[in-house]
Amino acid sequence: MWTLIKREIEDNYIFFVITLLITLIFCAIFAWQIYYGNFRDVLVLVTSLWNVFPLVLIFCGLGAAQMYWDRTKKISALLATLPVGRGQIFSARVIAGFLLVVTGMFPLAAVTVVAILTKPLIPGSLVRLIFPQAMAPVFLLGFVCYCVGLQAGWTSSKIVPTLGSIVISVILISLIAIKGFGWESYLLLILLISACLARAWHTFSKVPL
Amino acid sequence: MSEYAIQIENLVKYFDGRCVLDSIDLKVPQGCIYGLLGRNGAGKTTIIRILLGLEPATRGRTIVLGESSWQLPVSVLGQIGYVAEGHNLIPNYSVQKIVGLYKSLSAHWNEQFFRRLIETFKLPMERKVSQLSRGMRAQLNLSLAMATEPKLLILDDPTLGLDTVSRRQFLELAIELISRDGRTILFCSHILSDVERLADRIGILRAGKLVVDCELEQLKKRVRKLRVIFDGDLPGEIPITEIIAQKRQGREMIITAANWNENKQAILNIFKPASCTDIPMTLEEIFIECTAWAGESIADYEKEN
Repeated sequence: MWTLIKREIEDNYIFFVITLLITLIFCAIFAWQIYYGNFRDVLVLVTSLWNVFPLVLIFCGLGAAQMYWDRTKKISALLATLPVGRGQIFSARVIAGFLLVVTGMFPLAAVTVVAILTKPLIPGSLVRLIFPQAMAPVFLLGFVCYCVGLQAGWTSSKIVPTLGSIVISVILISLIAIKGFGWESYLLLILLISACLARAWHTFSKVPL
Repeated sequence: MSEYAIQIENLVKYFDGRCVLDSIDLKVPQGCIYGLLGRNGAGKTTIIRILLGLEPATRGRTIVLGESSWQLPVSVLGQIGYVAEGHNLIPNYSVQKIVGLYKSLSAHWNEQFFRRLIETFKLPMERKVSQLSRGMRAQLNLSLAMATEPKLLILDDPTLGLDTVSRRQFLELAIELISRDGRTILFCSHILSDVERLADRIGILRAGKLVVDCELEQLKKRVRKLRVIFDGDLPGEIPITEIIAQKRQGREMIITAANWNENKQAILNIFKPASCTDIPMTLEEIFIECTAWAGESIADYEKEN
């Protein structure tokens, strides 16, 4: 399994490099805002989290790229003739996607923790809300976009599913932007992740390779 | 463990409403070298893809090493080596990297044998797969499949793209592999002399139907080409069934017939031919006759249904 995950990461290393680069830039801006900016309250933290939205496009791109290259280079057709099941190929792919989202989100979360610990001026009640109501939904949103890309990549030869997945991503981001973070967002995102993964697996497990 | 490495029962496959495999029944015994022949588009690659679980069957049952081929367990996949038509290897990988991938994922890996193959074929390990010639890709693919020491080796036109020397090298290696503890090999090839040299059982597909399934020697006995010379004029229609081809000229008649037996010989003798001599046929000639023939089938065992 590790070989398959390693292969996915190595083949798509460019996505990891770009994600890490963007995240580090955001972290630097974020840290600067906290320590040297005109920082008054925790809202700055929350609004800064919206900066991660360019990242979700990269997550979406990874999902699409994994499936698109698989189809065009017949990677799964090769792997499936080795002692590897389709389930393992798919799981390795999703784990690589999960790791990309973690790569993008973890440094931001780390900077937030440091900011909270070193800035006692931030009200405790708001601090407690940052992780469950901001960081976690952003993480889930990133993963949803990856899953949407995963589906789109397999059907990218058809214009409707490709445009459809982009429209879904835009609607989703807008919906959360309007509705705000909260438990409802959690539910919505978890449902979407489950639906996307189930659909992608169903297609991948049945399709001729 | 079943006595058959591969069992296909009533296999039917449709692509977009077009029947490409029509009620195929086929059994490959353990340790057998089975040559599957057929013209382009006859359905050879489709059978192989179904056997490997890459393509679902429309109807029928396919068993490989005792397991249903759609969703083969990893333990069974580990006992199968496969060389795909067109040598499907990840093009942007270096040879080194693809070897590493095979090594990590394969259930068995014979490094010593692999090194020998690489040296024989003189494959450049640093070069990318996309930069290899078609022949080199074929050699790499063969080496990878053989190094996994498979119990069942499936070769889909393995020598396609190889020059004469490399083809000979491959055949010698294949013979060496075969001579090791009773491996089963299913292979398709357009080079019939290779098939003739290696195979001990032959299947011929024609337009999705298996028209021949028997041992090579049996096939040569069953498909007979006879030069029949009569003293007087040639008789009219000779009531022998399964005549593949018939050529008449002067007092001479050349008959190619399937499933030749004593009864057919007796019918021919009724017409009192002056002489009846066998014309030896190569596998290539038999193949050409069989693929042109509209008859049912040539097999040396009773079909179950």
